[in-house]
Order: sequence, then C-alpha cells, then structure tokens
Amino acid sequence: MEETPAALDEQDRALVGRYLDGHSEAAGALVDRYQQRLFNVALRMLGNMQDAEDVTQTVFQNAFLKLDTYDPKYRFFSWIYRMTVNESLNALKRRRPVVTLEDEFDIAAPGGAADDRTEAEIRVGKALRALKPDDRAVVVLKHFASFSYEEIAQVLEIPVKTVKSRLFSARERLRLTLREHVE
Amino acid sequence: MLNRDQIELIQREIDGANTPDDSARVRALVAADPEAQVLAAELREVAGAFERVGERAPSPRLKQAILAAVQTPHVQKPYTPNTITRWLTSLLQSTTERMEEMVMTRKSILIGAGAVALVIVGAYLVTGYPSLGGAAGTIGDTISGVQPAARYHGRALTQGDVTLDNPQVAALFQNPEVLALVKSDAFRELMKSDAFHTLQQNGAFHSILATQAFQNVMKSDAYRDVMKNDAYREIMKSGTSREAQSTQAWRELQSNAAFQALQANASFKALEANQTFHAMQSDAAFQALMANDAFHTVMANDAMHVLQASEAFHSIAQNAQLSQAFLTEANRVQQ
Repeated sequence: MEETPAALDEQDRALVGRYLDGHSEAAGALVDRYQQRLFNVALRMLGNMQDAEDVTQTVFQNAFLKLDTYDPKYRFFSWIYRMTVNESLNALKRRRPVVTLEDEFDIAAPGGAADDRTEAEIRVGKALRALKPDDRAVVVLKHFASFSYEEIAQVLEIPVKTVKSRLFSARERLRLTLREHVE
Repeated sequence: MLNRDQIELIQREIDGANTPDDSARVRALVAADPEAQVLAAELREVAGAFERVGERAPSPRLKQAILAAVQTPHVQKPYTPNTITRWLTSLLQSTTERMEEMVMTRKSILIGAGAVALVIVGAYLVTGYPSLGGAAGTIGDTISGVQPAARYHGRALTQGDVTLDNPQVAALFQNPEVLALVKSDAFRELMKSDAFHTLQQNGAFHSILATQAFQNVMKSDAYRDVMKNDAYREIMKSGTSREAQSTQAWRELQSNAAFQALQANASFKALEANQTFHAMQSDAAFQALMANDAFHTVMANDAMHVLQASEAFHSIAQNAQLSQAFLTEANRVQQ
C-alpha cells in the first residue's frame, strides 16, 4: 500500500528526532530514503555522475550538521531538496569557467563509459543544458522528482505563480528545441 | 492563435494539474484547433522524453561515504564528522589499500587534500628549501671537526653556512627547545632516513614548493595560526595508532576558525587544485615520508611547532642557504 505524503513526512520527522536523540542508525535510514532521489536531482542539474555524488554527499553532511536547526513544522523533504538544488547551483557556478559544454552533461552509466549513455539521456541532457539553471531546477523537480507546483514552490521558496511561469516557458523552449531536432 | 490562458490550460494538462472540467476544456480545444493539437502533442513529447530517461543509481560507495562522514549523531558531538578524519589517519598510516577504502568519493579526496597540504607544509618545514640541482654528499666531509654523518643533498656547503656565524640560525639554536629537538633521536633518524633524502630529490615535491600558491599559503596568517593551534599539534602527536584521539583532534581543528580560514584561502584552494599536488600525493617518496615514524615523531614534537610558528624558522626555511645551514648545524649539534 502506498504511503501518503503526510505519513512520509511523519516518518521523516521521527527519523530526524531519533538521530537528534543520539540514535545513529537513523542517519542510515534517512540516507536510504533520500540518497537516490537527491542524487538524481543533482545529476540532472549537473549532468555529471561524479559531481552529482559530490553534491549528494555534501548535502547530507550539511544536513546532518544543521539538523538541530531544522524546524519540524516544515516538511523535511522540502528542506533537504532545497539544499540539493542550492548546492547544485553552487557547483554549476564554481565550475562554469573551466567546464566545457561537452563535459557538462557527461552522464555515464554506473561503472560504464560515456558511450553507455542512452540516446534519450543525451537528448535530455542537451535540452536541460540549454536552460538557465533556475529554470532547469524547476523542470528537474517537476519531471524527475515528480513534484507538484506547490511542492516545487516550497522547495525553491518561490511563489507558485513563478514556478508555473518558469516551467511553462522552459518547456516551451524545450518543445521548440525538440522540433528543431526532429526537423 | 492560442491565447495565454489556453496555452496554460494545455501546459497544466501535461502536468496532470487540471480539474476534470479543465481537462474536458482541453480535449475540446485540441479537437477543434489544429494549433492546440500540435502544442499538446509536442509538449507530451517533451514530457515523455524526460520519462524515458528514468533514474540512475548512485555508486554503492556513496552511502558508505556519507555515513562515514556522519557516523556520530550531531547531538552528542557538535562538530561535523568528516571523512577527512579517516582519510588523514589512513594517510598517516600510508597504507594505500586503506586509503582507497576510506576515500570513497572525489569529494573525500578533495577534502583530504587539505590535510595533505598541511602535511606537505610540515614536510617542507622539516626538509627546508628544496636543494634544486644541488650535489649530494656527506656533511662531515666538508666540515672540519665533524664526523661523517647523515647524507644531505644540496649544493656544496661552506664554513660560513654551517656555523653559528649566521645570526638567524644562531638565534634559533639559542632556544633550548630547538636544541633539544635537533639533538633528539627522532630528528637524527629523520635526517638519516632515505624517505627524507628521496623527498628532497623529488621533482613533484620541488614543483609544489615552487608554486606561487604554496608560497602564498606559507605566508598566510591563517596558516601561521593553524601551526600554533593546539588541535593541530594534537593531530601531529597522535601518530598512527591513536585513531580516536586523532579523530577528536581533527574535529576540533575543523571547527577552528584559523583552519577554516586556511581552507577558504584562495591560495590553499589553488594548491589543492594543482595537478602536481595531486601527483605528489601518490608519489612513493612522499608516501614513504608519511609512513616514516621519525617524521611523525619530529612533527609531533612541541619544539617543532614552536619552530613552525616562528618567524625566524619560516625565513630560514624559505632560503636555500639558511635552510641548509640550519640542517647542517642541527647535524653538528647532534654529534
């Protein structure tokens, strides 16, 4: 049976509470719950497996460091996803002067070479790369994290109206890019 | 021509965000308007492209690396446990296999590089200014009254270099702690060790020392402050066998403002990013020095920290002649 968002939030809060109470195994449970999802957000933001792992690790380290500042009246997922997006944006800023466009979306399969990338991944990578990072964040949270407009607004701390505006205009650009690709 | 509301309606339909009534409006619009039909189809194609990509699984080592970094609940130990602790320990042990096990991701390596930079700085201060293109010999061969002792690789020495005529060297040797250090068995062992001499001949080591980034780090206030820091001294004292003590000290060091300033220092970062620096880390001579017990004993010595933090020794270490004079004088007083 699929758990409701409220039940998942409650589980998150319980794990955070246990960790803060000194139960170190709660850290493993939180990592299990979020590791892959955060990694995939970072991966689509950055387009590089290694950078995405770096960001994911940094996010967890920072999250556990600041866990006592987390306010349980807010949703844990919003908090940690926000950290992931922000850390990814920071990573993009840091590497921009030295990373080529070709490097930026080098999404290799786990343990494999860049040649293992699927055609779909290459196309999506190029399309995402064409977006501004802020717009890319909205698209990634919508299409790879399957968030609602409201959830994206919570994560990014922007109005729902802005979420829709960014998403729709980004998708319109992607549509035109896709059309050019087909033609 | 579709208006803005119609376009948004179709966009929302793609996201499954429409009410049943709105969905019915979209269906009617698409049926009646070819432009709406094309827009809806192409937006579905965009959304479909994302769906086809799917999720990637991170490396299985990622979880290990994360948990290694956050192994202790924050409430009990209010510092960020970090892989640098384990990484440093493995570095000091100079066990390649252990390092590979601990260094789970590139992030860990980059953080660990900060620790290596400090150790390199320490090595530099022990070994002194690189003897570029110098000759190798036995000090006792050229100094009257001194028995042949540890080999020192450098340019040919003169009497003026190695006596207490030099005021800077003389000042240091008037310090009883410095005297005790250079007379110690550990210092003697270090100067005799192959690792010490090999490192001095090592091209990568010299290249690192010649970089502006390294020189800037050496000159920075943050570096000086770290050298004076008790936690840093504790780490250098902890050696290879007292991991827990080292871990605690590292946590304290990490929370130290000077250490954080050093890590944030642009030159320190440049040093970390330097390719030669990375080559240095895997260099056999460097690893051998890191594994050398005498090196650790010297680095752990309180007098060594007094030296490292002192202006006089810093000046000496940056000057080839004075550096050799210091080591030669140290060699002499050991006799």
